Amino acid sequence: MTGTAAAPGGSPDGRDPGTSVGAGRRPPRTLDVVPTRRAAPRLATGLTAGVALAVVLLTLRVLSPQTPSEGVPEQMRDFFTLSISVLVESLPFVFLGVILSIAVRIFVPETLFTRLLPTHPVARRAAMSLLGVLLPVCECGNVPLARGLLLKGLSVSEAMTFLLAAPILNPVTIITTYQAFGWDNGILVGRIVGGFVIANLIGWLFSLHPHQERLLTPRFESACRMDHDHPQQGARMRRSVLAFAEETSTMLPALVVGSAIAGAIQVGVSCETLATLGGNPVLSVLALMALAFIIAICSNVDAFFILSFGSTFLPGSIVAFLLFGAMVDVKMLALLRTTFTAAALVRVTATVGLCCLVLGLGVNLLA
Amino acid sequence: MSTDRFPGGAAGVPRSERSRGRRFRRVNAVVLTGLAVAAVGLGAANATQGPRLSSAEINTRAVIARAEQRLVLTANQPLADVEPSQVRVSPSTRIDDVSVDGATLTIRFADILDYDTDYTVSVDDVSGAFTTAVGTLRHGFSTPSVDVFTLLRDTADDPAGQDAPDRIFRNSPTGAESAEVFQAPRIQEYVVSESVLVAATRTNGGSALVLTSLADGGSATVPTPVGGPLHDLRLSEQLLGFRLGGEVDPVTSALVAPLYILDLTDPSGVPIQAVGLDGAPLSVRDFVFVPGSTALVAQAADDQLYLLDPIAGAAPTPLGQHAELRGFVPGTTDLVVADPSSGSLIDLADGSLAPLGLPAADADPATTAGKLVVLDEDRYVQQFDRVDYALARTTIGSELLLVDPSGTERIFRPTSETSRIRDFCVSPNGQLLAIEVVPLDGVINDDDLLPAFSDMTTYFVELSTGTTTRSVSGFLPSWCR
Repeated sequence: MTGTAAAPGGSPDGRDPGTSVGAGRRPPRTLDVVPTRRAAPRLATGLTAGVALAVVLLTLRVLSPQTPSEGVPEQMRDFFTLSISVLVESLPFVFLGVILSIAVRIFVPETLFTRLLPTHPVARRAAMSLLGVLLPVCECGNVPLARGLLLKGLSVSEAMTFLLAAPILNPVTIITTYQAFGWDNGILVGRIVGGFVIANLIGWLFSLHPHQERLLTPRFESACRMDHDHPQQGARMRRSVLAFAEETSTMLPALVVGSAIAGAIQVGVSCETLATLGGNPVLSVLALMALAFIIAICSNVDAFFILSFGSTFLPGSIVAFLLFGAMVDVKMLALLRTTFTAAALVRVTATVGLCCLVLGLGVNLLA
Repeated sequence: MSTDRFPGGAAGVPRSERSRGRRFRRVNAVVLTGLAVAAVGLGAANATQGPRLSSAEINTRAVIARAEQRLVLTANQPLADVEPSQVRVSPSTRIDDVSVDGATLTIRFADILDYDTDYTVSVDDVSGAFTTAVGTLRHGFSTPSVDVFTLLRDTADDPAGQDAPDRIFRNSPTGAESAEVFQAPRIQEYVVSESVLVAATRTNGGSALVLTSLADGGSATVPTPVGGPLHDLRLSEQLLGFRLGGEVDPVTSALVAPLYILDLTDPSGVPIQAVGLDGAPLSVRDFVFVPGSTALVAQAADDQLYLLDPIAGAAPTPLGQHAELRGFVPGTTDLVVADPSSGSLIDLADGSLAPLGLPAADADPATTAGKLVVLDEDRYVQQFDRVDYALARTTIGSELLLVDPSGTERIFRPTSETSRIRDFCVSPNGQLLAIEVVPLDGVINDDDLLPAFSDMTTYFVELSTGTTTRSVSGFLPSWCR
C-alpha cells in the first residue's frame, strides 16, 4: 500500500495518501473475484436453484386466494406495502448501478480515471462529485457503482464524495427538483450547492484518514486485496456475469433488509405526527430529516413527494429533507454497510446530519 | 471516533502515521463541534425570530375592477391569529376581513381600490404560531391605470373634401396617453370591454354592428335583425345588449323598443330577443346589466322591472314598478331606482327593497336639479343647472354637487360659466367622475339618435379632492355605458 509509505500531505502523484484500495507499488489493476474452475458448476447450480425458486413462488401466487391480505392485521399489511414500495422503487436503480459498476470494472480502461481526473486531491474529489451528471442513478444504485470504482483503484474519500454527491448532482434529480419548486426560496440552489459542499467536506475529512482502506468492511477490503493480488482472467462477458452474480448477491439482501427496516419504522412512526411539527422553524427541520431517514425514498422523485408538504413545512426543512434523504437513509445505510464499517457510517451520518441541520436552519432564518 | 481501526499508539507504528491519525480525529472533532455549535446558534436565532414576509400575491387588475378582492401575504413561518385592527393600509381603504391559515395571511379589501395609486399594507405585531417574537409584515403595490374611451364625432369635411370619420379614442384618465382605436364614417354609439369594442355605425341602409379586437385591432361586422336602428348598447362580460328601432310612448315620451342579447362567444352570432313573463317579446324603456354577471334588469313599458338572464333561459323575475332605473352603486349589486317621491335600493342578492334616505342637497334655489348618481347609501353627486334668460341667447351654466351627511360640496363647475354639463357618470370604482361639457357655441348634430355637439370635452375629476386630472376631446365616456 502506497499510503503507508507516503509522506503526509499527499503522494507524489497528487492522489490522497494511502487511499487507493489495492494500489501497491505497481499501478492498480483490475480487481475482480477470483476465478476458479468450480465457478461454472456453481453458476449452473445457482441458476437452477433460482429458476426453481421462481417456479415455486409463481405456483404459490397462482394457487393463493385473490385477496390474501384480508386476514392479515392492518399494521402488517402497512408494513408489507411500505417495505415493498421502497424495494420496488429501488430495485431498478440497484440493477442499473450493478450494470454500470460492471461496465466500469471490466470495460473501462484502467488508465481512464487517471487520465481524465485532475491530479490535485481537492479538484479530483470535486470532479468525482460531478460524476453523477454522467451516471444519473438513484442513491441506492450508486452503492454498487461506488464499489466498482473502489475496485478500480479510486480512494475511499473519492468514492464517498461520489456516493454522497451523485444522487443530488445529476440531471434527473435537478430537473425534478426544479419542476417541483422552481427557484422558490432557494430550495433548488440550496440542494445543489449543499449537496456539493457536504459531499466534498466528507470527502476531505475521509482523505485525512491515514488508512482509508480501514474504513471498508474487512470482507470487501479482503476481496479488493485478493482481486488485486490475483486479477481475474478470462472472457469479459463471463467475468461480467460472475461480477453481476457477486454484486447482486451482496446488494439485494441488504436492500431487502433496508426496505424492511424502513417499512417497519414507518408503521411505528406516523408521518402525520411529523407533519404537525412543520410550522416550527427548528423542529420542522429535524422532523423532515427524520422523515427522509425513515421513508428512504429515491432522490430522483423525493422532490415531488415533499411538494405535497410544501405548504406545511418551511423551506429550510424541505432543503434539509432533500439533502439528508438523498445522502443518508435507512435503506442506504443497509446498502452502505456491505462496503463500509459501522464507525465510518456513523461518522458520515453525524456529519451529513449536522450539515443538513445547519443548512436547513440557515435557509429558514434567511428565506 | 475511536471505533475506526487505527493502530494508534501501537508499538512499531511510525510516528508520522500516529500523527496523521490524531489529526484525522482532531479535525473530525472540530468540524462536528463547529457544526453542532452552528446548529444550536441557528436554532436559537430561528426560535427568537419574528415572522417575516416571504411573498405577497395580489391581482392588481382585479382590485381596481371589483370589491372584496384579496391580498395574500405569506410569511416565513406559521402565524398566530391577526386582528383587523393590526392591519394598516395607506392610502386608507376599508378592510373587510383578515384571516390566517398557517403561514398565509389573507386581507380582503371591502371596496374597489383607486387607479394608478401606490398602496402600502402593514400588519403590525404579528407573532409566529410557534415563536414568541413579533414582527411586522409590510407590502407595497401599485394599482394600474385604467382605460376610458371617448367618441369624437367630426361632421366637418377633411382636406380632400370627404366627410371626416368619427373616431373612438382610448384614454388614460390620470395620465396623458390617448390613442385612436376605431374609426368609421358615422359612429352612432359604442360599448367596450377589456378585450373588445362594439360600435353601432350608421350605413346607407341603416345600422351595422362592428366588433373590434382591442388586442390586434381586427374588426368584423355582425349581422343584426332588421327593424330599425340599433341603439342603447350595453356590454357585460361577453354579452352585448341593444335595442332595435322602437316607438315613442305618447304618454311618457319614452322610447320603447325590443331588447336583444348577443352572446359574443356564440359562433352562430344570432341575437336572442328578451321575452316577458308571458313568453312574448319584451319591449323595454331602459335596461342595465348586473355588474360581473350575465343577468340584466330591464324596465318594461309599464315601468315594471324584470331581472332577466336570457342566456340561462330562466323565467323573468319581477322587481316591482319604478319610474326610473339609475344603475348600480359602484362596486355592488345594489340597484338604485327612483320614483317621483323617493328613491330605493334593491339588493339583487335577495330582492329586498330598502328606501334610500339620501341627505338633501344644499343647492341654490335658483338652480334646477338634474341627474343624480348614488355613490353609496348616503352619498351622491347631483347636477344643478342655472338657466339665464337675460342674455340675448339663453345660457345654461352647470355644476356638480357632492352631497353626504356632513354637507354639500361643489365638486365640479366648467371653467366657463356658460358651458353646461350634458352628462356625467362615475368610474366603476367610484374614484373618478367623467363629465361631458358642451360649450355655449357648440353646434348640435341632431341627425343621430344620440346627438352630439361640436367641441364637446370630457373632464375627469377626482371625487375625493375635486381635482380635474385630465380633459379630452369627445363625449360618451365608456363609464357611462
